[in-house]
Amino acid sequence: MQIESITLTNYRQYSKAKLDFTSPERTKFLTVIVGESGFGKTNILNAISWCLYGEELHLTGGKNISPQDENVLPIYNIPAFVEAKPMQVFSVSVEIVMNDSSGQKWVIERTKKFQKLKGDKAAMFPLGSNSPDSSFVSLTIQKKKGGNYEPQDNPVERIGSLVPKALEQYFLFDAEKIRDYFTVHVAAAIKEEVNKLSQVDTLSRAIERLEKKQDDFRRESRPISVSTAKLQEELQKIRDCLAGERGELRDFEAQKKACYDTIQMIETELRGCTEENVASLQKLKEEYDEAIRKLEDELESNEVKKQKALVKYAPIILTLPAIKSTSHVIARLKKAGELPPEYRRSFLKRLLQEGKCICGEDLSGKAGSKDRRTSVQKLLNDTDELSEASADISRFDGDMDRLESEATAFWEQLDEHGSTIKKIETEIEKRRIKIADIDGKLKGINIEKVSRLQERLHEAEKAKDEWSKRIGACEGRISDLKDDESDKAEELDEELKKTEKGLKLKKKIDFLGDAIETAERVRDSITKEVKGEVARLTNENFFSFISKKTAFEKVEITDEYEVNVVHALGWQARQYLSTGETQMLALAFFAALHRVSGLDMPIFIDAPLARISEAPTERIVEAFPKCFESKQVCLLMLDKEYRPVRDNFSPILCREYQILYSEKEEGYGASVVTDYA
Amino acid sequence: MLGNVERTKWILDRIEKCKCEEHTKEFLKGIVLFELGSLESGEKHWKSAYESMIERITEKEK
Repeated sequence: MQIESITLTNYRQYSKAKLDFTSPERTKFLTVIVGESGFGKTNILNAISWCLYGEELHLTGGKNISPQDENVLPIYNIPAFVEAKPMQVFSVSVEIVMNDSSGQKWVIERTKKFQKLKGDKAAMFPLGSNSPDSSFVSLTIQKKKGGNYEPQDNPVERIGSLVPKALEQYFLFDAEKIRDYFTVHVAAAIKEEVNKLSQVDTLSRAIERLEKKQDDFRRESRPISVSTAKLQEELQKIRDCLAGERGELRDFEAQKKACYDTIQMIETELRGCTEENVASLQKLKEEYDEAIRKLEDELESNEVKKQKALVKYAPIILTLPAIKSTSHVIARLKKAGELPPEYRRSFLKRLLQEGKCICGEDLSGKAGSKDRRTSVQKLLNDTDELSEASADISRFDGDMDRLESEATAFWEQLDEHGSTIKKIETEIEKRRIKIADIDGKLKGINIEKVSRLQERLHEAEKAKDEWSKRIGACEGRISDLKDDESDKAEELDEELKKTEKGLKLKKKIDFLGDAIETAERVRDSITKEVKGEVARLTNENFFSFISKKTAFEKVEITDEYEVNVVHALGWQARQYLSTGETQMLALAFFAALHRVSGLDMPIFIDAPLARISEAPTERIVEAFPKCFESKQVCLLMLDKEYRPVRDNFSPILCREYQILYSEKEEGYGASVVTDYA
Repeated sequence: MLGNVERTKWILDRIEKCKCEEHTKEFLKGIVLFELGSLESGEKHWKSAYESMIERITEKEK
């Protein structure tokens, strides 16, 4: 299958765009479409899936987005809508022209019509056709016959056989959804399609029919004799039981698979929101909280001690400078001989009482002696103050040393309290930073949801184990019944030998038995060979891409087409690969699957190198021609991803396109596709 | 990459290489070609087709 061209009309960013993929040479199989984020690269994948299956399977919000929601950006091109006149009808269409492996050309076109209403709205046309599977969406498929195209019936079925929807994500490869490539659902779809394409399902169908025919012959033995009738009846009973058990086994397996899918889904969800173990982070946070509480108590107790010391020493601390100053004054007065006072108080008092000095001068205060009396009075007053201060100071003088040493001790104590408090505060701060770090990690995680998911995970694992036990028991019963069936069939065959008609039937039964055995051998060898080849090529591709070549031993593909990576020390490592490594594994598996299974489809890869660092990128580009040889490949890339590797791609490059976005004055714009410059 | 024709040849070749009786190989090739060519045939149709092939081969063996 080769895509010749894709034409988009009024589809999302594109008013009109045609992408031609035809290649003049078989070796030039690569088309590159370059465009900046938001310009419409991924919408090319959406356009293809919408055209083929009626769904845009690559929207960022996935299947949660309903195109019927009027708040969601509509599928039609906004400029086309703005430029339409009121009540004008306009169409959105995507047309894909493709060639199948026999060279037959097909044209598939999906069209949706809209009518512009009053008040900046549009509705599907004709009005009232706004239902998800509206028949007003037209899908046509035409087959080229001679020079003309002829419309074909059942377009959905025809498209399904040309490009099965189950494999959509294996030809429209979206790097943003790489984890989905390893889910059980996708593995099951891959297995089914690989079996179909490698003819294994043809053989399975033939084996089933041969077994039915063998049963028919045994039933024909019924009227031959009483014994054959009895044996046939017994054989039928065993077979009925066997059919019942097999039905039960299928149910149990479906239940187990449902549990497995639930587990995978929950694990993916948990991994998406908790890089680290939420429970241990929460526990650690609680420990830090507890430590902070203890440190805060310690801090408070140290603050109290500091305050008590302050209260105790405050008078000393506050008065010490004044005392010191007074002490200096006294010392100065002493030095000046002013202390202790030269005159005694009683002497001066007596002079004033007598009103006469010892020299005979009048001190009565009467005329002529007033100034003398005032002077003596002042002298008496000064003597009073100095005497009291002198007495106090002489008492205090002895305590001065003690007070000074206590004040020094206080400052030391204060320093000690201060340093302890600071230390505690630092410890608290350290823990707060750690809590903030944990909060950062837990940010956006709904703890309750995680807890609920873990509970559901536990329940699903328990249920899965329960179903496994039931399956085991059922398989045991089936094995016993098969032995019984074989014994009874042998008994019947022996009985058949006794008559000519029976012998004839037995020959047919034996012949079919041989044919069934041979067909099973062929089927098993094909299955094994195809799977082995997928595993071999996936290994080869993966190890040619990755840097840590010695870290992993091999890539394994299970019988169910699940991909596992085995670590060098034997552990299962796929769940622990980095995003880049997972993308490389997906690319490796993807390329191997296409080469081996014969999946006859072009490959579109969106952002193939987006999550991969420089060195592996070079290796991938180098390995690219070998991995995807003879396939039609289209890469959708950012300019900064493509430009550095452009020269490496040139030997296989067929076409290069560039998506440009032109904004109009009215505030809306459109993407146009041009040749890459 | 194998196309439909190549895949049919591939499966027939596998049957041919199988260690079994020649008439079993011949029969299985016939069955596979029938299955590949008549995917849309009904229940009755396959039964009679199988039966005639079985008859033809087992009769030939006589």
